Amino acid sequence: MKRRTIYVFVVLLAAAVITGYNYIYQDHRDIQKEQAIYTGDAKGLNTMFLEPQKDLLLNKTVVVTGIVTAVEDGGTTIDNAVFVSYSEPTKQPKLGDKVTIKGRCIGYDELFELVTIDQASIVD
Amino acid sequence: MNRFILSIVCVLLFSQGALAQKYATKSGEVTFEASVASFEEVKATHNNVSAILNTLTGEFASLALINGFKFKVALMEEHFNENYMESSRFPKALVKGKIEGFDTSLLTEEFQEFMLKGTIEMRGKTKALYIPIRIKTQKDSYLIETNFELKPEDFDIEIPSIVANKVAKTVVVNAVYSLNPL
Repeated sequence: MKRRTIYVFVVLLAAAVITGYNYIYQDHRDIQKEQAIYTGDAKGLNTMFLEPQKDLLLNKTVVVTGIVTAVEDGGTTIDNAVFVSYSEPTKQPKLGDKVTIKGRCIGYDELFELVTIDQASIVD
Repeated sequence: MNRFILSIVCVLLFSQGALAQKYATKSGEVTFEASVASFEEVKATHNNVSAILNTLTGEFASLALINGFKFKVALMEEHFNENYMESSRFPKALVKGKIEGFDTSLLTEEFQEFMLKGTIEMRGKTKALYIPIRIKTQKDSYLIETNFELKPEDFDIEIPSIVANKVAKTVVVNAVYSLNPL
């Protein structure tokens, strides 16, 4: 009987440790598997940041379509309205490409007046 | 006549570079660390920090969107945003100021140290900032580096007592920008 109690205790303890470990070291978000809260053009996303709706977009997954208007080392600008940095920087689109990207909206950059998206990848 | 046109084209081409007063990046790298030895590393990196430098006046501004800081541990990132920085209410950190004694003619391919005098605005608080900043030229761009310390309490960030001994009292911030003509 006593042995069985110890056995149950050990199993419960192990379960608690595993659950705790999985909670603390849970995986990062997988943006590509998330449902997008906004799907549309880059300019539209930019104007949404002038409205109170912006709070709905922060830290959310978005899908944006437009033409690449600038390319630099860390990312690309789409329709002069959205700056996008990619999960795999080697897979950046080229200047003039029409693209649809999926990424995470991290906010509005007032220095450049652009919405910033990170962890993006090309959908189309 | 042809030579005349050519010289005008040359003047226009070369003056373009000389006229560039603003240098900027959207991919500055900012790292901060508040680790305590033998505890879990408290460190995050942001690769999409924007910055603009006006080379005529030495005015400098840099903006980091708080949500863009990436931690090794996802839960730490979540707590950082939700409990410590409240990034949904205060989505950005903004540094702006003037580089004292800045003059492009002083710059070389070796780092030179200047002082940046300005402010840092974060979590609804604005604090004075006076920090060393190192600048050098690199082809057509300017490379800027700085590191400084911040105290969480200056921005009303409360560290719960349960984790207080695992988070350093001062946060070390490191920033690197490669600024290109705008």
